[in-house]
Amino acid sequence: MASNYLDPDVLSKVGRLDLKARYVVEGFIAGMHKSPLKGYSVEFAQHRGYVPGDDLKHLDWKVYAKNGRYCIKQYEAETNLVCTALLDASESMAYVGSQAWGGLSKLEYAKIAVAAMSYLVLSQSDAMAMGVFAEGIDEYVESSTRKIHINRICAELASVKPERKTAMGPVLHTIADRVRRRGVIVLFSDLFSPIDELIDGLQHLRHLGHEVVVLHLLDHDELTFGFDGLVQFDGLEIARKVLCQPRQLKKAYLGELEKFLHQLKAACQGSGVDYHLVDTTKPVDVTLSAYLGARARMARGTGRAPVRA
Amino acid sequence: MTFLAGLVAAFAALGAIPILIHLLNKRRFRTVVWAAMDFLLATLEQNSRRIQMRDLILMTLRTLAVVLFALALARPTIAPGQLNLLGHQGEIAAVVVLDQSLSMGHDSGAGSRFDLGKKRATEVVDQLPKGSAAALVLMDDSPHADIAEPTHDLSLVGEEIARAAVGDGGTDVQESLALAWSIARKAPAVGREIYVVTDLQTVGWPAADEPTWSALLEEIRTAQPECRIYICDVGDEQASNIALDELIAEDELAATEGGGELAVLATVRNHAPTPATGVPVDLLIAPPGGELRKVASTVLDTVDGTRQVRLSARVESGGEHRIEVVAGVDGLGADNRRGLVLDVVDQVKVLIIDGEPSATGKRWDSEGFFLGQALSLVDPRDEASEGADGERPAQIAVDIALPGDVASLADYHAVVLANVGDLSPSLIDALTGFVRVDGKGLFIACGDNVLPDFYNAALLTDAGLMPARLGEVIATPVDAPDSAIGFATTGLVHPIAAFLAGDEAQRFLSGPRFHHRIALETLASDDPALVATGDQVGTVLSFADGAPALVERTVGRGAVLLFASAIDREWSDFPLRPVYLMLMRRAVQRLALGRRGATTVLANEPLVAFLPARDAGQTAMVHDPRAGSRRVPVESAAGGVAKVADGDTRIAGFWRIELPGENGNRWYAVNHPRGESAPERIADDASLRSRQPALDAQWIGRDDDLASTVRSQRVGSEIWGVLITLVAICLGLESWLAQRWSPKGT
Repeated sequence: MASNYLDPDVLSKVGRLDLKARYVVEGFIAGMHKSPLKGYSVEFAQHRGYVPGDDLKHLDWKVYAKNGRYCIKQYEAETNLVCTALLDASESMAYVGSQAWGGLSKLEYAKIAVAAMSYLVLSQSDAMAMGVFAEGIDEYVESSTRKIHINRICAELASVKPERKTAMGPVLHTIADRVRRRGVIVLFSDLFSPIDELIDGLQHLRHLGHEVVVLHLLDHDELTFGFDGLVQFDGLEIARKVLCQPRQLKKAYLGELEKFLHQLKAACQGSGVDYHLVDTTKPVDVTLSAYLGARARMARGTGRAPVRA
Repeated sequence: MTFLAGLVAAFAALGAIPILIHLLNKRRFRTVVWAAMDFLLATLEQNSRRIQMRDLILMTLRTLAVVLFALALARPTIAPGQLNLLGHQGEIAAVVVLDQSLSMGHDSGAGSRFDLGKKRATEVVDQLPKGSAAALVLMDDSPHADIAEPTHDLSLVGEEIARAAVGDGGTDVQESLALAWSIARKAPAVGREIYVVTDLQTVGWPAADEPTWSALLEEIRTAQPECRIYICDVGDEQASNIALDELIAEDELAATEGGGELAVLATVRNHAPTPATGVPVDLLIAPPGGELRKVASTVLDTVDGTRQVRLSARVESGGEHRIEVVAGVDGLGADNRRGLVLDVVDQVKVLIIDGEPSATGKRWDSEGFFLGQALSLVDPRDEASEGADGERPAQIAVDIALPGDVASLADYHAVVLANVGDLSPSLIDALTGFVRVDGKGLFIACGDNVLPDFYNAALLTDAGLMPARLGEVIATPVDAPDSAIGFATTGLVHPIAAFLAGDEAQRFLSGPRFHHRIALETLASDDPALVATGDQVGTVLSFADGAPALVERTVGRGAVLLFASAIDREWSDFPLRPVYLMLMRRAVQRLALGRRGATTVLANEPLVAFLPARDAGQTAMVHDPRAGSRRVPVESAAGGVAKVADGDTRIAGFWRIELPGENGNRWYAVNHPRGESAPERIADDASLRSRQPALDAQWIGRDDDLASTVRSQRVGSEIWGVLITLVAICLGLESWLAQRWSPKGT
C-alpha cells in the first residue's frame, strides 16, 4: 500500500535532507528538534528572576554568591517533532491539468507529498499524524513515531476520494482544538475557500504555537489560465457552468488570482505561517526538496530562537 | 435610394453570416471540469458586460461590412437633395424620341416645328451629365430606333439628330414610347430619362384607359432605377389648315378608248372653325416617262368642313399614270397634296360566260345582259371618239359567250362566270392558268344554275380559285321586298368599295334588295390551301346581316371575286340600281389589274410588287421622292410568284421600284394619313395631365429652360464608392479593435 505513494526516487531525494523546524517545537523525543518550552533539561538557556513558588533546586547559587540576587536557571531541551499533515480532499482537488506531473490530479499529487513527508518524518524518529478533510475532518490518523505507522497513513491515503466542498475555516479550528501538543502542521490544499475563514483558522493554529506550513497546490492551468477557443467550464465544487472565451478573461482571471495569492501571502507572513505555492506540473520530489532546502537555509540564517519563559 | 442592380442587394442577407458563425461557434466548445470556479465567476462578474459589448461591436462591424459590400454591388443611388455630399451627379441613359410625323412640318413662318424639335433634342443631348449615354428614336406611326442602344458618343447622337428629316407619317405615341422604354429599360445607369420631343398633336395619343397603354405607363412609373419622362412641347397654334383628305379614281383601271377620261374625286377638308374661301384645287398628271403637269384645276369658292370635288382629264396613252391633286396653300403644305397611280389601258376587255342565255329571245333575260350593259357604257359626252359607223368605243369591251363556245382567253383582261352551271375541265384549267399564271381576273357570280357542291369541288378544292365555300341558298319571298336584304353600309375599306364610304354614296349602296343569295363561308387565313399557295382572302362587301356578299382572293399573280348573288334581276334588283354600275365596273377593272399589290398606300405602309417566280433572287431598286434609292431583294413567295417589298416609306410622294428583267418600272403613290392634318393638340401641362392622368411626365414648354428643369428632376448619384469606403473602414476598425482587445500571448 505504501509503495503506491512512496516513490523511491522521491524518497531518495527528499531523504537526504533533515527536516528541521523553523521554530522550536515541543517534542517528546529528545533529538534534533528544539522544544518551544523552556525547561530544566541539559542545555542552559538563560536566567530569570526568582519568583516565590519556584523550585529552589533550580536556583543558581553561583549567581547569588556573586551578586546576591536570586536567579533561576533555565535550559533548552531538544525535543521530538509531531508533524500533522492536513490533506484537502474536496472536489476541487480532483482537477487534472493538461500538464500535470504524471497526469495526476492535485489530490493524487498531494497524497504522494503527504506520504513522502510522513516517511521522512518517521524515518528520523519524529511523530507523524494525518488528517483528511473537506467540509469537516473526514479521517484523522493519530500521531506515532513508529516506522510502521507509514503503512496506516498510506492506507488512509489510498481510501481518500475527492468529495464535497472545502470548508477550510471550521476544519482548521477543529484541528486546533484537537491537536493540543504544539507541533508542525502542514496543510496540503488548493485553498479554494473563503480567505477570511482560512486566515482566521491559520491564525488560530499559530496562536496555539503550532508551526504552520501551507503547501498551496495549484495546477499549471489554474496558474496560467492558458486555454484557447471557446470553453465551457463546469465547476467542481460550485455547480455552475460558464461558457466563455478564456483568452478574453485571462488577464482578469490572473489578476483575480494574483489578488488572492497576494492577500494570502500577506496574511501568512503576518501570522508567521510558512507559505509555499506549489505548481503541480513540477515533480513532487522537486517540490519537497525545494521546500525543505528553503527551510534549512532559513533555519541556518535564523539560528536559535530566543527562549521565552 | 434606388438600386441599379436591385437583385444583387439580396446578397445583403449574407450579413447574417457573422451572426450565424457566432451562433454556430457557440455550439462548438470543449468542456473543462474546473476547480477555480470562484476566480472565474468573479472575473466574469466584472468583465462579462465589457466582453459582451466588445463582441457586439466586432460582430456589428463584420455584419456591417458584409451588408455594405452587398449594397455596394447592387449599385445604389440617391436622389439629389438626399445626400449631396456623397458624390457628383450620376450618369444618365437618355432616349430622345423625336417626333418626325407630318404635323411636325408645320411652319408658321419662324421655322418648322421639326426644326425646333431638332434644336430641343440637341439641347437634351448637350445637357446630359458627363459619362451619360443617349439613344435616338424617330417617332411616327411606325417608330424606329435610329440609335438603338444608348451610346456614350453624344456627338454621334447630335449628328443623327441633325440628319433627321421630317416624314409624312402619322403619330403613334404609344408605340414610340414603348420602343424608347425597351431601350431605356436595358440601360444600366443611375438615371433613365426619356425625352419625347413632339408637337403633342392629339390624334397621336392613345386613349388614357387603353389597357396596353396603361400597362406601359405603369411599368415605366414603377421601374427601378427610376425612369423619368419629359414631354418637350415644340408645337404651336395652327390657326387654319386645308388638307386633302382623300383622292379616289373613279375607275380602278382607266382606258384611252371611250373618251380616255381619267377622273378623280378629291375630298378637301378645312380644319379651321371658319369657312375657307377661294381654295384652288389642281390636278396634275404624269404619263409614263413624263413629268407631272397640271391638266385641270378649279377653285372652291368656300370650304366649310369637307367638300368633294371631281377633277378629270383625258389620257392619250396607256401605262402607269401618276396623278396628284393639290389643294390650297398653308403652313402645313405636306397635307395639301395627295397622289395616286392609275393604270391606263387602251381598252379593258372582258369576257362574260353566260350560264343562262335568254330563252325568250329577249336580251335582257340573259344572265350577262345587265353586266354587259354596265361595263360597256359609253360616255354620251364623248362625241369626239365617234367612228364613221356612228359607234363610240367603250372603255370596257365586253364579249358574251356560252360556256361551250369559249375558245381562248388570251385576249381578255377579265372573265365573268355568270351563273354557269356546267364548267368543263378544260375551261377550268384555262381559267386557272388565266388567273394564277397570266395574272388576270375572274369574277364568279352565283345563280340558280350554280351547284354549290360542284363549285366547291371544282373551283375551290381542285382549282384553288374561289375565296369562299358555297353553302345553301338563302331565299326570301320575291313578293315580300321588306324581307329582302341589302348591303352593309359600313366597313367599306376595300379599294373596290371604298369610294362608297362617303356620305353621298351611302344612299346608293343601301338601295339594292336581295331575296336570294348563297351563303359564303370565307376561307380562314390559316386555311391550308391559302397557306400553301400564299393566296390571300378579303371581304369587299357584306350584307346587312354581316354575311359576306363579295369576297376577293388573290390567286398567284391574279385575283378572283366571288359574288354571293346573281348579277341579273332573277335574285335581286341590284342590276337596276346605280350602284351596280359603280361596283361592277370597279370590280372588273380591279380584276383586270390582276394581283398587282396596292399602288396607292399610306406613309409607312409597304410597297409590294409581284413578279414571275423566275425573277426571285434578283435585286430591285427602290427610288424615293427625294432622289434617294436603295436596293431590295426579290424573294420567292408562296403561290409560285416572286415578291418585292419595302416598308420604309415615311416620305409621301411618288416612289418607283425599278424591277429586274423585263418587268420595267412600277410606280407607287405614298400619301399622308389624314389624321395628321388635324390641328388639335395638347397645349399645356394641365391638358396633358387631364387627358393622360396615368402619364407621370415632366412638361417642358417651348420657352422653358430645359437644362435646369431636368437637373432638378435628376435621379441622383451612385454611392457605391462611398459604401466600399465604409466597408474598408469597418474592416480596418474591426481588425484594429480585435487586435487591441485580444489578450496578449497565449
